[in-house]
Parts: sequence; C-alpha cells; structure tokens
Amino acid sequence: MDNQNQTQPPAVRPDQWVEQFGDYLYRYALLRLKDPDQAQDVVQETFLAGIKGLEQFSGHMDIKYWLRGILRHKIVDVFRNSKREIGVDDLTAFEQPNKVMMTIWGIPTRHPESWGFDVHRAMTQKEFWIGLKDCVTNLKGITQKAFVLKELEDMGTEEICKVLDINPNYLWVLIYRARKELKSCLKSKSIEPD
Amino acid sequence: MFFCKQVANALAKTNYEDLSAWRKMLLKTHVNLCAWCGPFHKDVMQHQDMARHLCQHEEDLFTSNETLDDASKESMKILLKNYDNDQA
Repeated sequence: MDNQNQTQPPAVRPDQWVEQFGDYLYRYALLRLKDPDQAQDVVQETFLAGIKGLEQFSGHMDIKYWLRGILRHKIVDVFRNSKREIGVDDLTAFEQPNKVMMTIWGIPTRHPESWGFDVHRAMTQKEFWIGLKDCVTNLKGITQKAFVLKELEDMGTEEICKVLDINPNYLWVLIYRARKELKSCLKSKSIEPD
Repeated sequence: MFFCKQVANALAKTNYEDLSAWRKMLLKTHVNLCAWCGPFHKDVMQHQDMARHLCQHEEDLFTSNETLDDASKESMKILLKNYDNDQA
C-alpha cells in the first residue's frame, strides 16, 4: 500500500477508502439489499475487488463511482445467488392482470387507482422522497428484487430475468405489483403538498 | 408508436426518458391523446419519473443512522491493509 500511496493521487489511495466512501457505499447497498449485514459484506467485498482491480482504474471518473460500479455487480450477485423466494401470496393472492386487456392493448386496466394527491406537486417535497425511500424498503421478496434491478439499477429485462430466473411476463407482473404497493404505501403515509 | 401495445412494450423495456427524442415524442403524444391506454401509461410514466429521481437524489435522503459502525470500519481497514500487504 505504501508504494501505491506514493504514486497515486489521494482519492485513489485504498487506505482512505473506508473513511471516504464506506458510508456512501453502505447506504447505497442498504437501500437495495435491506439487510445491514449483507450490505456490510458487499461493501467489504467491493473494497477488496477495488484493490485487486485498481490497475484497471483509468481515472476517467471519480473513484467513488468506480467503486459504486463494482458494488452494483456485487449486489446483483447477491440477488443471483439468493434462492428464488416465492411466498404463498406471490402467485395466488395478488390480483392477476386482465388477460384480454393485456393481450390486445398491453395494459391490465384502463383505470389505474388514483394517487389521491397531486403527484407532481408532491415530487417537489423532500418528505415525499423520504416516504418513497421508506416504501421502496418495505417492498418484499422477489418483488423488491425485481423493482431494484429494473428501476434503481436500470437493468434490461433479459438480464433481470436471468438473474432472478424468471420469465419476462412474470417480471412485468412483479413490477406492476411493486408500483401498486408503492402507491398504496405512499397514500397511507398521507403525503400531502403544503 | 401508433398502437397501445407498442407503447406498453416500450414502457416495459425502458424508462421513457431513455428513448430517443423522436420515440419519446411519439409515445407522449399517444399517451396524451389515447383515452384507452393513456391513464394507465401516464401512471407508469409517473412511477418511472419517481424511480429516476429517487436514484438521482438518494444521497440527499440518507439518514445519519445509516452508517457503518466504527468497529466495522476498523475491521474493514485491517482486512484491506492485510490483503494489500499479502498482494505486495
């Protein structure tokens, strides 16, 4: 590490990483994995992988985001390695989309549930985003994993299906369910713009 | 994007903001004018807006208790130092 310290700019020094980026990476992982122990483990693995691959760091981006890129792969690995969690309610209790509507128009309903508040105004409030973050954390099981990979990690359908070992139709249902649960959760928080 | 199903497929595959300007314009026009799929797809687009903004601003939403504790940090530092020494 001493040799590295002499030749690299301060931000690239691995001995500073825990203090400089530890909390940021931990929070990033925690929002996606929900489990503090798992989040801590992937951060540690990220640092180790970072040291190992430091020669590949070209310096074209902030080292923080380079490490975050490694962390994203670690999070996906956790999802990939976790057993597919299908609870009793996963395939039965949830309202299945209307098959005729889906086949012809690609939508499950013409009348989505109302938000009950002005979404665009709410989106200007910090309380709304804190509430949304809580609601994302409240998603469970494979629904949460699908939402994280699709909406937060911006992964493609094919890749998500491989990671979670599901088919595209089921992924669509999971995202639909996640959105309904998020809307319901946000409504229950009574987030109202001033 | 003249058909509801095409809009549905586009929104299922990607965030509408990531579409090309032309495709985004076609999609928005369809969604704004279509009485059949418009309300549902507007709802989908609002969810996509929320997810995108959440990603962009998540650093501002972290609370002070969402941090690695000192003991974990110390053990990580030791592990990294040992690992680095082993590699050297």
